[in-house]
This record gives sequence, structure tokens and C-alpha cells, in this order.
Amino acid sequence: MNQPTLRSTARCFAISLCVAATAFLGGCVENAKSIRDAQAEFSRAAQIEDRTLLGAEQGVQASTEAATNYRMAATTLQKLIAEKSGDLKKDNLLCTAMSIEALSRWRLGDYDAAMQIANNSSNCSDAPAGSQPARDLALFQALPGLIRIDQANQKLAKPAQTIAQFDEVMTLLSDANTILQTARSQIDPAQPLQLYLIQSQLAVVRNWQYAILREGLTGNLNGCETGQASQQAIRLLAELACASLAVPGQQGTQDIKSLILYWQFITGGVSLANPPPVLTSIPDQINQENCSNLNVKGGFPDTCQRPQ
Amino acid sequence: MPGLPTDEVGLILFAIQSAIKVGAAFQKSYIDATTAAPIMLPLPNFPTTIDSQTALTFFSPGVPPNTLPGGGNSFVSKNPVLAALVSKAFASGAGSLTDDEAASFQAFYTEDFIIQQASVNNNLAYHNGQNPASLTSDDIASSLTIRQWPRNPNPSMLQALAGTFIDIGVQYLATMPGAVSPDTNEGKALRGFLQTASNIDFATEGADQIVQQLFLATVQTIKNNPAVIAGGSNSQALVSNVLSAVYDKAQQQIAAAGGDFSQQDNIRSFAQMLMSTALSSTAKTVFDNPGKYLGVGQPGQAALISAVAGSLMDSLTNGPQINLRDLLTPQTLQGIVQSALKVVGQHPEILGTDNKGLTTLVTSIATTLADPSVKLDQDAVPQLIQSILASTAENFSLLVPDSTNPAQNLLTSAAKEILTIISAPPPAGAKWTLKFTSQDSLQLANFVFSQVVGNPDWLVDLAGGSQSRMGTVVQAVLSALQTNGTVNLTKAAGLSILQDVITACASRLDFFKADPNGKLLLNDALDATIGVLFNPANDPAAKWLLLANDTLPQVVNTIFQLLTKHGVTQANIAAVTTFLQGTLTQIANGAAWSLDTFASQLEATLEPTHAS
Repeated sequence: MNQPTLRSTARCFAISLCVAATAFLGGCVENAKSIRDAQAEFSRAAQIEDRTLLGAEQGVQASTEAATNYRMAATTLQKLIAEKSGDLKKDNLLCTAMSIEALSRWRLGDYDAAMQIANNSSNCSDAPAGSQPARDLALFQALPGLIRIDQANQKLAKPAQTIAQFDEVMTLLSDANTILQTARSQIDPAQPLQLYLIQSQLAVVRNWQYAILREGLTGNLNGCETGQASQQAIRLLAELACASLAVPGQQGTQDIKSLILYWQFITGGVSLANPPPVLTSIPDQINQENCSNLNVKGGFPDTCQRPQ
Repeated sequence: MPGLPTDEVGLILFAIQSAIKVGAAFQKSYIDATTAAPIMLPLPNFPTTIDSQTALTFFSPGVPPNTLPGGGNSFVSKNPVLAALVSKAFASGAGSLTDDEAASFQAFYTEDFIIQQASVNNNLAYHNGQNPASLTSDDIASSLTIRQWPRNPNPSMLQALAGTFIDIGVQYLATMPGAVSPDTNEGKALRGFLQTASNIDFATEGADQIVQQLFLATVQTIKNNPAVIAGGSNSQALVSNVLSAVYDKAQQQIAAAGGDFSQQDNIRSFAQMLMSTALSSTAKTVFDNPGKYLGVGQPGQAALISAVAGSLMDSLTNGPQINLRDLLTPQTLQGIVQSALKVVGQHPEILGTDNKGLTTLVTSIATTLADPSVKLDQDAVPQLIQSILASTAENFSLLVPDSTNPAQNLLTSAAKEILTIISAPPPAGAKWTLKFTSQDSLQLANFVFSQVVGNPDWLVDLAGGSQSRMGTVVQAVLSALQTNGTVNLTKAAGLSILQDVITACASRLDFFKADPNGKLLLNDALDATIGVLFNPANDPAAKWLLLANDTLPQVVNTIFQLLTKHGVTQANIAAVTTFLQGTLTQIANGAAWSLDTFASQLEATLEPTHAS
């Protein structure tokens, strides 16, 4: 065969194709690009918050910077959804856009707006089963729980040191835990969102412990609440370990060991006298056998007796 | 039906149509990728630092009954201060501790948590006031960066685009006259491609890219080489066999290349060139004998064309020391393919039971020639491979004594020995230092190959030496020229002398006999000719005449031919020395000289000796 002819023809074709493709593609992915930009702003803000929250960095200005990024993401998406929700839905992008906006509103403290978006999300996707945006839909379901955690945390900033206020906080936290647990039960065990939702449930526990401290519980109620919160933490730590087994890319990693130790430390540790087998040696004991027999009692519902 | 768009305007219009398809595929992929993109999620608010309640949880006594005791409860009884703090925190609330008590309580917690973890081999560092199990940015990103799905249900952008490119290729094909008709020769040839391609698992990563490139190579080859489609149904078998072999090997090599995209690209490009060359350069041979090369007519018989294509794909892309793929041009590849097909066609036993024989042979040649001692310009390697394959095809049983071990090819050994000698740097003080080029090496190697084919005993090692007879001659002549020659001696003259001496030695084994001093008669003869002719003390008039680059090789050749004719003996060699010195003196004195007279006078001098 004539090799130079093949090469020159291929080169001519490739150049023409590139030029034509560049011209053609110019205006056809703008919506998706706007969403990508908003995703990037949102992730940047979340990274700042998470790093500050989990102690990887000391973020003095973090709160302001994160808020700015959340606001940019929310504003971009609000406008896009208002103008092009039909196109977005057709491209299976509407849920993604709405979830990012709702989460941004939540982090900005605009809980009503966040809930309104979540409540309007029921018809955001017409995609067939299997292609539905699983993460985004689960986040709409989890959002009320996430908001309740922040509301409980806000209440603890101004403690009344009464059992009544403790119970108000516990109602928020208990509801949050139920909502998150429900969201978890409706997604694939291998869905990476499991790791996020379990950590959010651990944030429930940490706020529970903080409530015991801030509302000044004493004596047996103090001991009982402390024990139940600890019980819930141990259950969640075991579930976190087992979720990592199912999630692709997380099995047996050093990251999971660090993560479990981190949460163990800030929630008061785990008894090594009689721990769930999956937590005895991390990550070695995180295996199918230990996880299929996982039977750890949780701390909810709160059954501690209030003083008469 | 419109013709294939070979002009640039036609191609540009076709590219625009294609771009619309690519654009649609890209748009869908970009949107799918946006939906699937991982995002980092923020955790809800919670107290991130430990407090006295955290410590109380750890040291909790498990009161009231049926309450879970803390994980560090066993530490409490060992320290009265800690016990007092636990007691107060339990009874009055952890918030009732003074600041100092709270700090002390939390320090107990941190220390005992670290001790507890150390007991299960989790070694944590103590940093006052900080979480000893602190997370890195990577830990955080790993656990909170969340994908849309565990496994993306949409094809990757690469897969989607590659599929579209194949679609474009089909459109390209549709514009080719006759290509889509099963009754035309073009259609039959392409049917071979499509039938084989239909068996390929396109779910295999990268399969579509290879097929696309091989498809384009096939279409172009069919268009530019009528011989490829001259075989009718045999064309179909040819395309099918070559595609099958080249695709399989390319896919294996790409898988082995891992994530090295540059390497993958090189493999695909070479596969494309081999596909094209294997179709165009073998068509006539294959169609003249389809039973042999295509395995048709004899069920179960191996298709030799497949074996050749597969073997070359393996051996030429997996060279252990040199990258043959980059050295090959369409022309040199064509030569190798044709030679390889000839070897396999005439001696199918070379393939062995596992079809690896040809791969072994080509790989061993490449490995041998790539040896650092050879110092061969790598551009010459493909041509040498072709030469060795071509000679092997004609003299298989002679050159491959053990057909089950084709790596032991006599020509490969000869090439290595000779090329090592001629590429070695001249010794210190050498008077003739010209280096041989790749073309010189190829010329000499081909000459040596012809001698070895004529008499394989050339490669028998000399007793007590490490070189073969051939190596000994080459080394001796080269040394004689380097030691005695001058800068005026050209490479052409040197090579001519070398070949003449080899030819002379081929006629007389006596050159390898030793004189009473243990020196080979070959070396004595070289001293008697080259040593005497290049003597610096010779008269300028004699040098002018006898050392001319046209004359010198003829003089040396005459002497060696007469020695082979009249006997390689010490006496004859001594006679040559005496005769040559006399000739030099006569020329210095102004006597006339011609090669014919020189030859007849020398023969007269040698005849009596020979007669005795």
C-alpha cells in the first residue's frame, strides 16, 4: 500500500475534522459547563470546611472564603435552573444542579431555601433506572437530617442547662439520625455516599455528647446518656468500617484506618475488652465474615429515664 | 454513487459531516461526565475538639446498670486523681469541672487513648491539645469526595468517541465504489474484515481504537493496491487472517503496556502499518498458493499468513534491546514480511508446535544485532534481518541445523562475529583508521552470508582460538591494513581486499595452517603482500603506482589467487616476498609495469615451487 498517501490523507482529514469539531462544539455544552463550574466552587468550599472541621488545617478565614464559594455556586445554579430547567432535565442534569444549589443554601444557613429545593426535587430526573442520579437523589433525602444537625448544634451554642432543652436538641438529633439512616437504606451499599452519611451520623453522636455537657446532665441520666451515645458511636464506627469494604477503592486502605481512629478519638473511644470484631484490628479485620455478622446495638432510640 | 473523497475539498466536507457526529457524541459524553463527576461534600457542624464529656465517655463507670462502660474504664482505678475527676464529672456533670480539672481530665484521656491504641499496634503521637489520630488532607478527600454512582453506567468519553469514529469509518467506506456490495472483490475483501471484527469483544478497553485504525488501513490498502482484491474469496480470507493475527497481538501488547499511552499509541500505529504492509506485499504470493498460506482446502491447516503477521507483530515490537518498531520504514517492513513469508512458506516446520518459531528467530536476530559489542548503526538492523531471513528461506536445513531451535541460525552467529570485528575501534597507533558505515557493514555481511551458505565450515572455530575461520580472516586482513595502511587507502579498496582474501581462503584451507613459529600462513601471506607493499621505505614511484586505490586490490587479489593455485606454503610465500621486493626495485629504477606482466612473472616464479 502507499503509506505516504495514507498518512497525508489521514493528516488532511484529521485537521479538517478538528477545525470543524471545534467550531461545532463551541455552543453546545454551556449548561453542563456552568454546572461543572458550580461543582468546582462547591467542592472548593466543602474542602475548606472539611479541612478546618477535621483538623487538617487551621482555617482562620476559612468560613468567609467557603461562604463566598457556596454563594457563587448557589447563584449560578439558581439562575441556570430558573432559565433552563427543561434543557437540564432532558440532559439528566437537573437533579445535579438542584442538589448543589440546595447543599450550598444549607451551608449558607438558608435552611428554608434548601428545603424548598429538596421538596421540589421529586421530578428532577426522567432517566431510566440505573441512570438516575443516585447520589443527588439520596442527598435530597438526607438534607433535612443534615439541617437538623446544624440546628441542634446552633441550639447548643446558647445552652439553657435544662432537661427540656436537652430533649429539644435530642429530638432534632434523633430525627436527623433516622433521616440519614433512611437515606442510607435506600442507596446501594457500595455507593460512596454511605461513607459520608455515616460520618454525618457520627456528627449526630458528637453533638449528642456535647449536649450532655452543655445542658449539664448529672448522675444516672448523665451516665445513661453517655453510655447510649457511646453505644451509638461504636455501632457507627463498625458500620463505617464495613461500608468501606463495599465501596470501590476503599477496601483495606490506610485512609479508612485513619478515619476510624479519628472518629474514635473525638467520640470517646471504643472498649477493647469486648469490641465488635471488625474494630479489633483495622484494617485487617475489616472483612466479609466480620461484616456479615455485624450485630452491634445502637444508641437510638434514647431510652434513658428522665428524673421525675 | 460518489467516489471516495481523495481531494482536499471532498475531505473537508466529509470532515464537517463527521464533526457533527463527533460533536454530538462529545456533547453527550461531556454531559454524562458532568452528572457523574465526583464532588466533595461538607460535613454538618459538630464539635471537632475533645472536651470533658469525651473524656467521661472513655472513663465512664457503666452506671446505672446495663449501661455500657467506657473503653478506658480500667485506667480509672489505677490513678486516684483520675478517679476523683471521673467521679465529679459523673455526679455533677462534665461541665462542672474547673478549667484546670478539665484540662487535666482531657490530658488523661489523650494519654490513655494512645496507650490503649498502642496495645493493638496503633502507634499514635501525642501532641498536646490535638487529635493524635489527625487526618491528612488526602484522608479527608478520600472519604468525602463522592461519586454519583459506584460504577458509572455511562460509557467513558473515550469509549463514546471511539465508537463514533468507527461509525465515521463506516461512512467513509460507504462512499467507496463497490465496497458495500458482497459481489464485488472490494466487498469480499471488506467482508473478511467485518466478519473477523464481529468476533472482537468491543467491551475490551481500547479494542475499538485498534479496530478503527486497522479498518482505515485496510480500506486504504484495498483502494491503493488492486492486487489485494484480485483474489476474490481468497482476498476475504487474507484480510480476515491478517486482521485476526495483528489485532490479537496488538491487544495483548497494549494490555501489557499498562497506562503508558505513548506506548499504546506506538503499538497501534505499528499494527496499522503491519496490517497495510502484510496485505499489500503478500497478496500475490498468497493467492498463488492459497492452500498453503491461507489454510483453505485443508481443514485444520494453519494459515501461514496469520503466523507471519502475528510473529512479526510480536518480534518487531518486543525487541529486548532496540525498538525495531521505530526503525522500520514501510519499505524495510515490506522486505521483512516478504522474506518471513518465504521462510515460512518453504519451511513451515520453523513455526514449531506452538507457532513461536518465527518469532524466536526474528527476536534472536534482533537481540544478537543489538548486542553492545556489535556497534551496528541501528538503521541497518531491519535490512540485516531481511537478509538473514531471505538466506534462511533458501538454505534452511543448512543454516538452521536444529529446526526445533531456530534461534541457532548460523548467519546470526556470523553476522555478530563479523560486525563486532569491523566495528571495533582501531588499536592505538593504527595507520588506517577509517570506520565502516551501515551500508559497508550490510555489504560485507551479505558477502559473508554468501560464503557461509557456500561452506558452513567457515564458522567452525579455529583450534585454540575463540574466533571462527571467517572471523580469523576478517580480523587478520583488518589488522594488516590498520597496521600497514595509509590514510590514502579508501574504504572501498579495503573492503575489496577483504573480500578477495576471504574468497582466496575459501579455496584453500592451507591458509589456516601454522608456520614453524605458530603463526598462520594467512598472516605470513598478508605480511608478504600488504606488509611489503606498504613499507614506508619503498620508493615514491613504486608507491605511486602500486598503492593506488584502483591497483592495490588487484595486486593483492592476484597474489592470493596465485597462492591458492600453486599452493599456500612457506616457500611460495617467501617467493612472493622476494618477487614483490624485486618488482618494487625495478619500478623505482624506471622499469615498465603492468598487472598482466606482474601476474605472469609471479606465476612463473611460483610454478617450480608448486611442481616440487
